[in-house]
Amino acid sequence: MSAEERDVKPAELPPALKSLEAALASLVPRTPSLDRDRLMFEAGRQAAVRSQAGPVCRWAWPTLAAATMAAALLVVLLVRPAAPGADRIVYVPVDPQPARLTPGSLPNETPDRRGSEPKGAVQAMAPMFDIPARAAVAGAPHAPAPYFDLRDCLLSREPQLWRLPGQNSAGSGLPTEPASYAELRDELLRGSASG
Amino acid sequence: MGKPIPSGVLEIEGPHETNPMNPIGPELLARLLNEHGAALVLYARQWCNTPEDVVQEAFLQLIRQERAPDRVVAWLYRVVRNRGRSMSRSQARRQRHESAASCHGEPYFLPAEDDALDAATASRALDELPIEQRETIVARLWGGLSFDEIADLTETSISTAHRRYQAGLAALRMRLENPCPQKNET
Repeated sequence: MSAEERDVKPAELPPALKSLEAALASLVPRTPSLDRDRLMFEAGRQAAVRSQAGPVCRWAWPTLAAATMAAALLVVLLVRPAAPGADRIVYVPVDPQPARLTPGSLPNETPDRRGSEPKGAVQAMAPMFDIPARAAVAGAPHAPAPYFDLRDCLLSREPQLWRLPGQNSAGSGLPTEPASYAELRDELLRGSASG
Repeated sequence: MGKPIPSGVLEIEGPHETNPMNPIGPELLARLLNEHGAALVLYARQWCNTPEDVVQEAFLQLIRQERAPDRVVAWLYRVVRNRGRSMSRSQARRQRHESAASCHGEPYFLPAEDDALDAATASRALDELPIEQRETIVARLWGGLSFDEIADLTETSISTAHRRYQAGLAALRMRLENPCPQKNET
């Protein structure tokens, strides 16, 4: 069969076939013996079932989906996994030997338990004594004040340095301690007259 | 009863389109039964000896649908075709069934009133057609399906469906003009 015949339209049937088509169409198929009552009963029953279950079915899936999502969120909220923590290693450089105090490394002023500390006292005494650097670190405000350490150190090592004029200092070359108020006054007057 | 088809060029009214949102109700079912029940049984008869059962099950399946198909008539023909073919496969052999049906089955049509065409002769001539041509002619003439729907139903192209229809009509014409046609003639 050619392509033209294949593409022929239904209205292009030959006249002989058209008349046969009409004659065949006039034939009436036999009446089927369908169980019409059963079909109508089923149709009515299905319609009744749909009318009763219709609203429920419309809301069933959205409700179920929302409930499932809420339950999942609740579970996630209750059984929340711990935040992932990472061990961080911090390297702190430690000096093998404590640093020595130098005049340039000391702060100008450090907190004092009793108030202000004598300015420059530590600077002046640092070359003479071994004072740990921890006591003079400016970033440690609660560290023991170096002034008192220095004072205690001086008092323990050189008690003769702190004797007043007129005190008895045998063998030290210092003036003797005045015995009374009059001696002290006279000594002061002599000093002022000579100076 | 079968749907009245005007003589001459077949201008069959469009497919029964339904609102897909509405399920099949009793009113629509009654109308489908009246207009297409007989043609559906005739269509199912091409494959099996119990066409009423096939059509009954097809209508029940339609009732159970949540939403009506877009083209409910074409949908019914598809269901009937699938069920008829399945039933035919379950029987011993298709050729044996077809020959038995053609020999012992009732005429497909009621006796014609105008004696233009003998119903029994037309039934026999139709039985002798190949199944592809026969189902195309039945779906077109008595089912009222368009060639587009027939092509979709038989899983062929529109041109193939029309070619089968035209070839079937030509074969019927030869058989009806010759009362004793040869069996192997196509």
